[in-house]
Amino acid sequence: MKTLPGVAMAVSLSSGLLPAQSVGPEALSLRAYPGWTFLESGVRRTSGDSSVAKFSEYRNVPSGVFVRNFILDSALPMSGSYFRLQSRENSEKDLHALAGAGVYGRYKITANWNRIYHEVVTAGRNSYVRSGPGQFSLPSGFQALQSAPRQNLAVERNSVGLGLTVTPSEAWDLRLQYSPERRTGYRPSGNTFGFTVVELPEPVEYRTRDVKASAEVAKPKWAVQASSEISLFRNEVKALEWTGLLQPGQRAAAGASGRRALDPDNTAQNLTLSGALQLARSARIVATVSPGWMRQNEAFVPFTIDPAIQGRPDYPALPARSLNGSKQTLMMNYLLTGKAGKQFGYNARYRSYRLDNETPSLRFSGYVPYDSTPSVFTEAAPRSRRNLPYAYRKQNVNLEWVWEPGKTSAARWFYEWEAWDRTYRDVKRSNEHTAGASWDWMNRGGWGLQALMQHSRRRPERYDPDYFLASFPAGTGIFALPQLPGLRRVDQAARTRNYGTVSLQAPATESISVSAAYTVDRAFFEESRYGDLYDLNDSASFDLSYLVTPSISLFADYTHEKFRYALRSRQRLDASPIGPASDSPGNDWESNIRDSVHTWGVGLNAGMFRNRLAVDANYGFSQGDNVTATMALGNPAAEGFLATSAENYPKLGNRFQRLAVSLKFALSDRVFYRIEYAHERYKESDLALEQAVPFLGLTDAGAQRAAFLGTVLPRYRVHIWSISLGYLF
Amino acid sequence: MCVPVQRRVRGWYWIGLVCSLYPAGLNLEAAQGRPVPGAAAAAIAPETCRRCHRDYYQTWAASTHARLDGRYSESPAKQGCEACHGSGLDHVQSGNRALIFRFNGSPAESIENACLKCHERGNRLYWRGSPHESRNITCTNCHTLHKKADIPQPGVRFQERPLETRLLRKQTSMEVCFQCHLLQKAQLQRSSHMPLREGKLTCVDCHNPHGTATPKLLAENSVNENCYRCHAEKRGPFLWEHPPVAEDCLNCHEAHGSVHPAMLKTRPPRLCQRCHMRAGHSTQPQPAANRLIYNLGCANCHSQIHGSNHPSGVRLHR
Repeated sequence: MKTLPGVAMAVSLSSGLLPAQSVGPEALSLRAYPGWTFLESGVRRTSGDSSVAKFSEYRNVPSGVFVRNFILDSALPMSGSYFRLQSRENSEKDLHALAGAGVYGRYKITANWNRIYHEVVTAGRNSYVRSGPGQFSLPSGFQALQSAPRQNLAVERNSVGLGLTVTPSEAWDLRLQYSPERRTGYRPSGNTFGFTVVELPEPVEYRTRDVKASAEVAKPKWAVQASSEISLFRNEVKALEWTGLLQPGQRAAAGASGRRALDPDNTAQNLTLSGALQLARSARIVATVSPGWMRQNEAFVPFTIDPAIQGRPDYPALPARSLNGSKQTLMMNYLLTGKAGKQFGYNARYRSYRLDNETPSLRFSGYVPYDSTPSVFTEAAPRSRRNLPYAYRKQNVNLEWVWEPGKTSAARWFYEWEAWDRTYRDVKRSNEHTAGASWDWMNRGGWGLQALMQHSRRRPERYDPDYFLASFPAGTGIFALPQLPGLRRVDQAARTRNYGTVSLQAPATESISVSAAYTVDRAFFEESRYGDLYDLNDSASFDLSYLVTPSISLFADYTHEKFRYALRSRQRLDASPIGPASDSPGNDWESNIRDSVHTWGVGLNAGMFRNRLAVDANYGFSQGDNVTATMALGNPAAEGFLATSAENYPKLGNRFQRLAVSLKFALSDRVFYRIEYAHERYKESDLALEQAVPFLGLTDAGAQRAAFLGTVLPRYRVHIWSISLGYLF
Repeated sequence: MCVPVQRRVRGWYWIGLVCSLYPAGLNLEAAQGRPVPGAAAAAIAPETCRRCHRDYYQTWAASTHARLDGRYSESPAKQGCEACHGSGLDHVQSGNRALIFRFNGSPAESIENACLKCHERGNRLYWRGSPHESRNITCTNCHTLHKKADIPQPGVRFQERPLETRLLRKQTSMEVCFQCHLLQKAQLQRSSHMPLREGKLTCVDCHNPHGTATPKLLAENSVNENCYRCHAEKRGPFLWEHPPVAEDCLNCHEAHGSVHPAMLKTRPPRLCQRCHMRAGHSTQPQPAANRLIYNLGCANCHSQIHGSNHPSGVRLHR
């Protein structure tokens, strides 16, 4: 393939290798250029704790030969056809490729392939042996867990996308896309025999197929788009089953087996119709109507896996073979935007998203709460339950008035009304009103100022915390206590929220530019006596870049975020055979939660020796901490005091650091080699994992019957060396 | 009151679409006598411009715009340099800089008018009136017209998978967004994060920066529909649903990153105890050494927290 020097120069310039003045007059014939190919490949060595799942959370960085970058770009100028293939940072389990071909302005065919490796558990221990898809048994007894071999759990996502775009004329576009995806692997999941927990590797065998077709006709004054999309999801493993004694002494028959239904197959479909119309006086209307359907009709598994329970005379019958679940969505959006004179503009928008749940509400006359439980909850208990088809509608009205006094600035005032209508929730209807203003200014010199502030008030029309009683058609039985009065669930509670943000871009000198931003977000739930009381967030960001010389630049950035929540609750007890109900304000407790995150980075980019050597060095650091302080609000000495477990949790935190240095040497206009070193460190202190040894009974005497995979804390130190050669063909 | 189930679509929903069949309009800029890109079809060949603007010509000639030149539209006003810069006849004859449309220093509205002449379609249908447009952001804040097809460099802190060329101002689409969205850039570096820094996702996988019918410039019709694109197994409908989950994933999860596992807003059991305080173990403060704290917290037992299809799974545990 012939390569023009101009393209080599273009590529080299973008890589910071060569000065611009070396571009020759040949570059001017680029319009007739047939294409180019670039390959950068080398060897890499990864050492340290690279087998820790946190390091491989979303990537795979093995030692050995790797391809960093491959681009094949070819074009036939006379016919207007082209072909382009790109691939980046590839390894066996981690791959991204994109190919496109077509004729400019006529049609385009694209294909992409993404393979994503997602490791989720480090060195888990599992005594259960896989005996079939989703089936595990414990042949050698519980004690083997302590000495079971360690294994990492990972899920691999393989997705392919095929697309065709046809442009029959300037006004028309037709598109067709097909995207199959396969997810395979294991992830950890908890399974319960009641209050006995066994954590197992849940098989992931998912297939998803998406097809989308769309058409668009666009004229200077109007446009219409129509699209249809269907998505089919299939789970190859319908249930997770496990068999075997959990520990010595546990009941061998019923208590040793369990079954959990995994996510069912489902389909989703969407139609979208959009239109835009340019009106007089620069006004424009855009409208979208998009109905959708979600369906699921997977056959129910039996109430229990235990044949002894299934054979009992009071074993209930299933009310239906499957759910026949169906949800219908309807999204509508209408926007009117335009100018009123030279300096003023307006936007008015109405948006509605409606989810109608047409799933049948089935009445289960009884059920088996756990596979390990010999009892069956029946109508007489009374424990009959009914599933509730939740539905909602969200409506928004936005009004904006924009004033642009000059070429460089814009002021905006806005008002928004948001209304929620819900079925089977605490709040059937709530309204939120928001008013605010923003100011945006940016001059030619690069100075900029953006400020926004808004005030919101959300108020439910009525709060009914006992909506869930509809799920108990025969009464609540042991659920004698009503919902805690004064509880306001955070997503529906009355709320006053103030939000403000200001950011500044300042080119302090010709070589120094600074940007800074500060955001404050304060939400108070004034009517909540229990539940979230407030939610306060602050963040400050700072970004500096310094052009030391035309070929050397430095950068630094820093962000600090702070979150504060408060939660109030009450420890309550239902009446039981061993005691009466307890519902006393003396058992109230409050938890104050603080999160703090610092993120900063510094770096250097330099070109030396006439830009033959490019240096790129950077260091990034992120530190997050969490403190949860909890105290009982009642008197511990009082009779009936229950909240004895109100205590502060140990401080949690994580630190991530990454240092990377890259040296790129240009051997010629077409060839360079790159030496890279990266060091990553991650450290975490987390009480959720520090004591979660496989057999929890070792640390929590009250949890004798809990067995986990024994995930170890995700700490690692990894060094990555690489040397690669880049060649422009 | 319950939301009534609406089985039919009312006729007035379609009014906006029916109206779109009636073209009308007024070009204010032309009336004000300023140079308007594409307003006249003088057809100055790009090679004419090259005589004085060699560098600009060179970068344009290596761009997708040049490859598309003359193939997308037969209109002379949409070809060559004049497609974006307007009629160049007066400028060529006089050499007067004021007689050609220049992007540098032009008002945002003029710049977007130049671009939208060809691009007001596809996912730019909602650009006018979008949050970015309302705040004086224009096309050239993120894109550049004169960009060569170049070799993407390895990301410094954020990798990016191969994307179709979009003539971006920065090396990656994420860097373009991070120019203003400093907080999101930091959130993506938290311990639990969306895989953007590993190059598996980019901002435009979830957002359409050119404007959408949805809040937060989401690409899909709702937050949940956005998440279902990758997590189709959570879509349901389920027999036993968890209402806040079915309503909005962001009730429990942070969209960009969190210091808590699984991108949760806070850790279990406190996350769950924000709502669950009727009676029993969910109302106990819970000591640190406890199986409701260890490992997955409440999800150790309630593992079907996104919904269960088991007839006995009313507590989302089976």
